[in-house]
Amino acid sequence: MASPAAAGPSLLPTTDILTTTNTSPNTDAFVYPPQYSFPPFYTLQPNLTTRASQLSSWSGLILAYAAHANPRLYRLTPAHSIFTNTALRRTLAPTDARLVLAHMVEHGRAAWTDPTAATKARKAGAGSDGGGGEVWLYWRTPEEWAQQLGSWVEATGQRNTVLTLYELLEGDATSREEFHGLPVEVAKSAVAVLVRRGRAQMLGEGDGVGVKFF
Amino acid sequence: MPSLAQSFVVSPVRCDVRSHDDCMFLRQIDLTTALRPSLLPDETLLFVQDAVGLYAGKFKLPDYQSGQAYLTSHRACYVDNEEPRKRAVAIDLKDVDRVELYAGFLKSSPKVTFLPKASRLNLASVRHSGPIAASSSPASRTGSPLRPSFEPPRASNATWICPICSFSNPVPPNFDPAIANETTPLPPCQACGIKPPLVNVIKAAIAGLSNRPQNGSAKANVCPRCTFENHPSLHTCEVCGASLQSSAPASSGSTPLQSSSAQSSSARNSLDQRPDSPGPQVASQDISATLANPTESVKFSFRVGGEKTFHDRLKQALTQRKWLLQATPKYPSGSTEHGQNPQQAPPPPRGIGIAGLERRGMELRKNNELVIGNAFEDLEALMASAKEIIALAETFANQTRPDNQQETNDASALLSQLNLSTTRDMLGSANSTTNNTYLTELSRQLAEYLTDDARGILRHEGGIISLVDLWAVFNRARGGVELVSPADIAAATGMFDKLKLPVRQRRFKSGLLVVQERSRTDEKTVAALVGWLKDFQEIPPDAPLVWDWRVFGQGVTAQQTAEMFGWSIGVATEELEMAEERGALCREVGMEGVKFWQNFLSVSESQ
Repeated sequence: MASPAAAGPSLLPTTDILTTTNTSPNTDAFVYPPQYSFPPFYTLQPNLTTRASQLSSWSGLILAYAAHANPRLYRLTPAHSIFTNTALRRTLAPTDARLVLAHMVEHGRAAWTDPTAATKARKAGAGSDGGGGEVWLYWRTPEEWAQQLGSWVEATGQRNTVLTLYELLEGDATSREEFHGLPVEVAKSAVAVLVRRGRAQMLGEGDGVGVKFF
Repeated sequence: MPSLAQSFVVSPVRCDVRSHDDCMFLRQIDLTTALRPSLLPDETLLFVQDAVGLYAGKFKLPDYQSGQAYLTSHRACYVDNEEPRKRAVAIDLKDVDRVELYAGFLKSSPKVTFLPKASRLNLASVRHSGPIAASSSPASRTGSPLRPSFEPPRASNATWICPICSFSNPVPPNFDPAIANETTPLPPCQACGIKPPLVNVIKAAIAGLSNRPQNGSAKANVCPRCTFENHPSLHTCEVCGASLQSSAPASSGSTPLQSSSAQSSSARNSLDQRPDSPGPQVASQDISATLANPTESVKFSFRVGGEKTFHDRLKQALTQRKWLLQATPKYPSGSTEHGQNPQQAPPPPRGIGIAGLERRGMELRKNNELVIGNAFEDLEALMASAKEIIALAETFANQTRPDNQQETNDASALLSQLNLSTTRDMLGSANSTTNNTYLTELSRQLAEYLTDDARGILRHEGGIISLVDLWAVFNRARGGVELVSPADIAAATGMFDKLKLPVRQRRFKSGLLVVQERSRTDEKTVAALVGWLKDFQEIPPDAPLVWDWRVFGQGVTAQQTAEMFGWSIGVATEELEMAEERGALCREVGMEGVKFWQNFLSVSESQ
């Protein structure tokens, strides 16, 4: 897992832990936005205008980092190390981090991994910092994933064939594609977009879900 | 014929009266920053009343109908509510002969009338003859043509009113006002048998002379407006109320006893006069002419009451005649070789060190001794040196205070300069209107206190002072008497806007109330804060920082801000939060507390 906490703007995200087989999508240094080393960035701003831009800055930082990280980051908890800047000795408090995630969910750049838990947490106020705050990060939105899937099927001439999700996401054939390694849950929401457009059909249940593209 | 020496005795009296001839009865005055009349040294404020209108003679002065009346020991002032700078006038009490109280009737408001001194202008002819006679040599006066010319008027039917029983007595035919003095025998009142005061008889005789018509007969005074023949001693027409005085100088101008200077002055007076038949509306009239018109009586009309207290205090002031005190030359400070009074004397050789201090102290004590010794020698001397004695008494009182700290000295020094005299007591009974007047006065006084450059209260506090601090320093300045309650301070500061004063009350988001200069806006404060924070991007920090100070500068705490701008910490916090609210700053909550930074969060968003 990359440790952004130790990283200054000039440091490479560490690539010591590799859990997937695909090559690093980006080998050049991840450039943190300037706010990352701005101490007030780690305090939730009371001024609503300032807070809005602060939250979108955080959102942009997280998505950029997740897309850049190796391995790519698909899920995030409020306790993630991206919220800590060890060089600056500043941490965004988990409760505030939850608000950042909620902001992302609100803007369609993330989804709660457990929608019921999220609702519960929201009802209880952003007090709990447990696992309920975990999100799927949409550094590509489901629509964009759907677009990529569709293009890939088109390019490889696999219309009207049934592919399992595992084949799509983990198979050797897609190892060069960006959606390789995509979590099943995210892939499902992407397929759901295609289904809505009438370009795909979900077949089967459980792990062996198949998708048929038209 | 009385002796020449007697005529000499009288002349100073007349000269004294005459010396005021040229001043206008109502005149423009200067106002302080808080739009109150600026007081002369030794002048004290006696009474304030709002909702007052001005009348000249019988007519309302347009635009002078809603204002504050300030009664001081020297003046009665009117300050308009709408245009205080333009319309602020005062009557010098020294020019006032007497005042009358009119209690009001039905819809007519109570009024206090100021009558100018002894109808001095329509008597100009008579009065001018006095000084002229006095200035000429005795030799030339023996053959003076003026002397016999006084004979015919003595036959006139001049009467004097007995102050005891109000009976009209004829002025004795051999009584000559020009040469009468204390030794002149006066006949007692025909009704009650009490001898009249000399002044009354002189006035009556002069009035009888001046009202004497041109043909020299004892004809009555004809009103120029309604032609009613009034009694010669009346100043206004009995029927229509028109002033009869205007006709008097004109008619007397052609009498043979008129000197050339008197003629010119009466000609000038008649120019200054209002038109002969003023209509009921004065709106068309030139105000300056009215103000300059010295023969007119002036009325203060009290729309919401307060006339009784005003009249009482006015009478007191007229009795005390404090302005005489002011005019009094300083009591000569002793006959020793070198001057004891450090302010007056040419500077004595500067002593250095403790010896110098001791010598100064000794000289001061010697001078005090001298002043006190002289003052109590006789009563007259005491009167003359009253000012010095009072000043001494005050310094003694200061010295005897138990804690002789600098602060106390400052405060009492402040008090003595301050004349913080607005008290509830000054405003009579406590009903809602007087309470309101009290608050407006308090408000003006606070504004004056805050903006006074000599004290620099606001400047010292960085241009902004919390209400709590203000309350504390203000009450301290009052020296522990007539303390003002916090509620009154809050209410008074709330009226700054309404009274158009140069300070304003401001409520921060948290509810903290402060007073600051009107010119200081939030924009200026924000600009100052941001400018200060920007400096941190230029100046390298003392300790190495983990962030790039060239980009972000540094964060500041409320305490640092308070030190920087001279604010109290509460004010600094509020100002910082105000700037944050406006998006100019952002905050960082850390272990060192809340720090404020330039807002780079929003800036990057817009880029």
